[in-house]
This record gives sequence, structure tokens and C-alpha cells, in this order.
Amino acid sequence: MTISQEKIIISAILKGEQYAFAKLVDSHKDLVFSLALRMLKNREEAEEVAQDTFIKVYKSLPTFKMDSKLSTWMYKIAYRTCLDRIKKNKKYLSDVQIDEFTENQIKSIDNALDNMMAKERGAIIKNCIQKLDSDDAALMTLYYYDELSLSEMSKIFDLSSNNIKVKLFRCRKKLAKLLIRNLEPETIATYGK
Amino acid sequence: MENNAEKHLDKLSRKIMGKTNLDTPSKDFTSKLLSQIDYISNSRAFVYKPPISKPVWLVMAVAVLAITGYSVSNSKGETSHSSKMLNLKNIVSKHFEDLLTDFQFSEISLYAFLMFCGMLYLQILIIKTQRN
Repeated sequence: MTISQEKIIISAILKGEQYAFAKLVDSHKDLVFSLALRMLKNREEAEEVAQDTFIKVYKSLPTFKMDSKLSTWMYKIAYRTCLDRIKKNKKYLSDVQIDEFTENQIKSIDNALDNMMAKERGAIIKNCIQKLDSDDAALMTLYYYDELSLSEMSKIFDLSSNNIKVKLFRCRKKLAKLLIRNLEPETIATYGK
Repeated sequence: MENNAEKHLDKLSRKIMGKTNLDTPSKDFTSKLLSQIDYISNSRAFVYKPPISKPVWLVMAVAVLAITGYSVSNSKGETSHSSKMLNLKNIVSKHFEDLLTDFQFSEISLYAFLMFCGMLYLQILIIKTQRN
């Protein structure tokens, strides 16, 4: 959605046109829900948090200053709402150790995933994302799904661009470690060629 | 070499975290949300307005205090220490003084006034609960 399209949709929502808000929800609900699900690891809670996020967006829209993209602002609200829920539930997940990987090891994982049945591959990927720490899951989802720039990411997470870069570097390694853990050694050996 | 590994790791992460693996909420997600929004908009439309506004309350309070103060200072006579301190008679204009010379603040009127205040407060409470 371009900035001019965003402006049109915002003014329509502020005029009280509900279809405009429905359009905004439909275009962002999958990402907001996925972000919540990956952070909270629970479908019901994720749906509740996604609903809360959109209600907050609706209520705060009159105060939105257009100093960033509407989507960036919405993701920031979603991220904060998830953090609030995590704090409320006092949920903490064990962190994953970071290992070094060679180019061949990564190619093997990639090939193994490519050669697997879609259903099986989907289950493994979901399992790995489920095991990622909430913050890491949010960072990876927003970076790779919406291809946000580092400056946009830094606005959402209130971190410097360099800090985001370092975090992303570590997250990728954690994800690879989780994939290796989830894929049977024989699978990597068989398919990973 | 390490740079290449990093590139491949980035590509792999994009594949895993990308659009193809996004989850979707329940089918009635948008309709549920819109009904909540509808409720919020409707509750915003009704703004509670008190039957007696704040400025009116203020004027009433000032008037009551002025009358009470004046009558109390009048009934205790010129020797009262507090009236000397406040020098109330000098503050009140001649016209207002003439108007209130005959005003007597008996005990019965005090009780009646207190009862009136109590009943008014009760009535406001009842009206407020009914309106909400």
C-alpha cells in the first residue's frame, strides 16, 4: 500500500466509513496474526491479541501523525500488545544456543527441506518457529515477510539499525540450529545432496 | 566462505519465514472485529451530560456560602472576631446589604437547607444511575 493510498484509507476511516477499516484489517490481518502467534505460541491468545491490536489502531488513528508508514505503526502496536500479553502471562521460553555453520551445512538443510513433502515441511518449519524466542520470532517475521528496512525495523523495536542487524544475524543462526535439531540426521544425509 | 554461508542462511530464512508460511486467523475475524468497533463507535456517540452543569453548581455554591456567611456574621453582631477579620461588611456593596438586612438564618431553615441538599444529592444519584 502506497503512502497516498494509506492517506485515503485513513481519511475514510476517520469519516466513519467502516468498509475502509475492514479493507485495512483484511490486508494486514494475516501478518498481525502470524506475528502474534509466533510470539505467543497459542492460537486463541494470538487471535485475541490481533483483535486488540486492530481496536487500538482504530482508537489511535486520529492521533497518527503519518511520520512513518501506517503498516510500520500498526506492527509496532501489534508487537507492543504481544509483549504486554507475554508480561501478563509471565511466559518465558528457553533460548537457543548459537552455533557456526558452514555453507555446505546450510545448503544441505535447504535441499532436505526442498525434497520433503509440503505437509511434512510445513510441520517442521512451524515447529522450529514455535521454538524461537518471542522477540526473535517477531524480528524474523517482520523482516522477511514485509521486507521492512532496517530503519523501519528500528522504529518498531526501538533499537538502533546496527542492533537490529546483529540480532537478525543471531536469529538466522538460531533458526538453522533448530532446523538441524528438527530434521533427522538421515533426512539431511539423504535429501541434503 | 563465511560470507557465503551467511548469504545462504539469509536465503533459507527468507524461504522459511516468508509469505508462503504465514498463518491465517479464523474466518469471522474481520466481522467479529467490526462488531466490536461498531460497539465502540456507538458508546462514543452517547456522551453523558449531567443535569446540572459545573458552572451552575459553582454559582449555587458561591451564593449559598455568601448568604450563610453574611447571615452568620450578622447574627453574632459587630463584636465577632471573625467578622472583624474578614471585614465582610466592607466587601459587600451597600445595595446587597440593604437587600439582606432582614434575612434571618434560623435553626429550622438550616436543617431544611441541609435536608434539601441531601435530597438533591440523592436525586442526582438516582437520575445518573437511570441514565447510565
